[in-house]
Amino acid sequence: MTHNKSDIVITGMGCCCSAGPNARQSWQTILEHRANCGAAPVEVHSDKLDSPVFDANGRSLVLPPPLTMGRDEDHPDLARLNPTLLLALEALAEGLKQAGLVPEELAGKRVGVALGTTIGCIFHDNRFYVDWKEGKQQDPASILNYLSTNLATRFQQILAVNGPHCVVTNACASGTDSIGLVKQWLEQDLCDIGIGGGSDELALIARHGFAGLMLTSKTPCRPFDVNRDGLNLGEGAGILVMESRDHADSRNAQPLGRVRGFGNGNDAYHPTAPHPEGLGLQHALTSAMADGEVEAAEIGFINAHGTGTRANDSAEMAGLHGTGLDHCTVVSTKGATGHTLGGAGGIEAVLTLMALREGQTSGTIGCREPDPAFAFSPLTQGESVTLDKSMGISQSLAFGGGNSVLVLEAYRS
Amino acid sequence: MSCLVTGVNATRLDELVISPTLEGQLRRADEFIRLAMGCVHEKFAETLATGDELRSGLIVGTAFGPMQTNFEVLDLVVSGQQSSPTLFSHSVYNGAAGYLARSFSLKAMSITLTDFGFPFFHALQQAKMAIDSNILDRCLVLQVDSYSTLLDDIRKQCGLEYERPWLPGCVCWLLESSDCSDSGWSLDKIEAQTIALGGEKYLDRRDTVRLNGDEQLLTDPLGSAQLLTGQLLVPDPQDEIEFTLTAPYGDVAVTLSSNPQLQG
Repeated sequence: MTHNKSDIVITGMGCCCSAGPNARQSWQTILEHRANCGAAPVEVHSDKLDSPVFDANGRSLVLPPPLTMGRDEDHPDLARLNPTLLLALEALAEGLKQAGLVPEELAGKRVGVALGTTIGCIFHDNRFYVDWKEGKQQDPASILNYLSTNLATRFQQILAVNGPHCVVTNACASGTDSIGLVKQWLEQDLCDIGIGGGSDELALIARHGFAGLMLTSKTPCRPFDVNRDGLNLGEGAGILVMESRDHADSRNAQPLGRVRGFGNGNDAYHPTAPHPEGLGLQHALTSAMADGEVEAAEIGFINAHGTGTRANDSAEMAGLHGTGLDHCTVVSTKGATGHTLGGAGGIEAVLTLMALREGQTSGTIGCREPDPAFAFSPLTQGESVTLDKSMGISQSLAFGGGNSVLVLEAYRS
Repeated sequence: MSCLVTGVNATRLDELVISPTLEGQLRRADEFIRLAMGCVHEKFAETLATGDELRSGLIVGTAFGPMQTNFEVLDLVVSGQQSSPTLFSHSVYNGAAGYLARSFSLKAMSITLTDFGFPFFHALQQAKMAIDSNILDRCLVLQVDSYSTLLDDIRKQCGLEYERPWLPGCVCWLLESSDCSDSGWSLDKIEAQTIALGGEKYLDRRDTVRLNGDEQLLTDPLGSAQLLTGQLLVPDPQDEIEFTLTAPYGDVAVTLSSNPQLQG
């Protein structure tokens, strides 16, 4: 059995980032044009780095109460939770609650999990590494913990569920791709419930890397602004809980919206820079709309990748223009969340759905004077608009030339 | 429409040959990228030069990603030196996928998946779904792993039954829709499930593989994909291949039925 492509509904969403510890508060921060951007916490501080960050305080989180882990004396590594996993679990708990799903009752069920990350898949315990380089005797617990923290298998272990699972490591498009893969699994009836999104913590290695590429700003980022000069890293997680409509109906769940379409395309152009005309993005947009059987005219809102770098924002606006989406309200929410890398796609899908459900959005924090080189203008800080159309797009661009697009449709109460 | 495996290749670092035409592109590439590019180029460069690039994609699976490159970036971080843009961009897990997409003009889906259990088989599962559901006409499926000195040291330190370092390598299959190709192995079934366990289990690799009734124990993360790939290249293959893998960290099952025209 397969499910109709347009029948993959969203019944829950969760988000934890510097804009707020949940979706509602994060959305409120955006409506109020606030940006919790500041100095890096001590764990990721470096005297050589002067770009501010968007800290969600993932290091101080604990396992959220509805979720429990079975005791496993044979595998003490499973008792340890890193910030990337904790941020993701925070978002998961919120999403499951909204979906009306009780974690204990999911045990044994077919629940697919796809999560995106960039930091979560690498071993980045600097202290351990330095000690190892110096030949000091050390407890291998740190690396054993790393090996036991594949996000997707840990989610399934914590929930005691079965089903397809994967961790997508497509750089900054990972979260968007993960949601798209879950949509496909549900269509193919590989699972009854799907959890998709992404998560990432702040890490020194990423701060150094982006600084080395001259892609970070020393001030709060200004996506789409004529004077934009780079991104700020952030941390956070965003999760969508998805089901086939039949499954949601069978348990009387109230869908929040639908994942109508998913598409991705590769620029095949450069290791780190997007194609200047956004060609891969155009293919991803076209594919996602075709997948959702949606015309460009039906789309009213676009939550862009909008990092605040010169190249990304130009390519993205060119790609949207080339796909005939000039009529849409375009914003970037990274002015409120920072660039959360593997978490970005999940967080932005949640915020896109919030905007579409509420039928309104405010402009891009940090964008005061839109770049006149763009074919059309994004919504600027201080502006607000009503969103008449219930369909919108959340899109991500990544190193490696990846472009991923979700077409989301909101059900409005 | 069915999903066909129309070509396979496998290479290890000690036998990797980079053609002169490729060497220029790879002069700054790390081992992880070189393994992926070399393996694909050797077998598929001509095939990939034809066909619809907007319907051609790739899925790369990896257990540890470009781990050694990641540590080279960490070396710069902890020593207070400025980060190298090239090194950093290669330490990102989808660096190899980016190179492959660009070099072979693969402009549809490009996904990198990370799994400590069975990265090749999870990638294969996803690629088959993309072909079966008509998202792609063809899809490269890879596992690339290059490991690291630190990983090897930890394996020794944990007191595991250590035999030798895992050898970096790459396995690559080309999957195509039967609408686009009329020769190849039919990929009838692929199931893969990894479960979360303590980290030691992934270091003390124990894959019990059963291939058409013959059982063997494989002890490195690329071993099972290499074994199955080798089976597809034997001169007189059986009509059907039944492959199962059981390990403490999960299970895999693959069924292929033959079409002897597979390009070897």
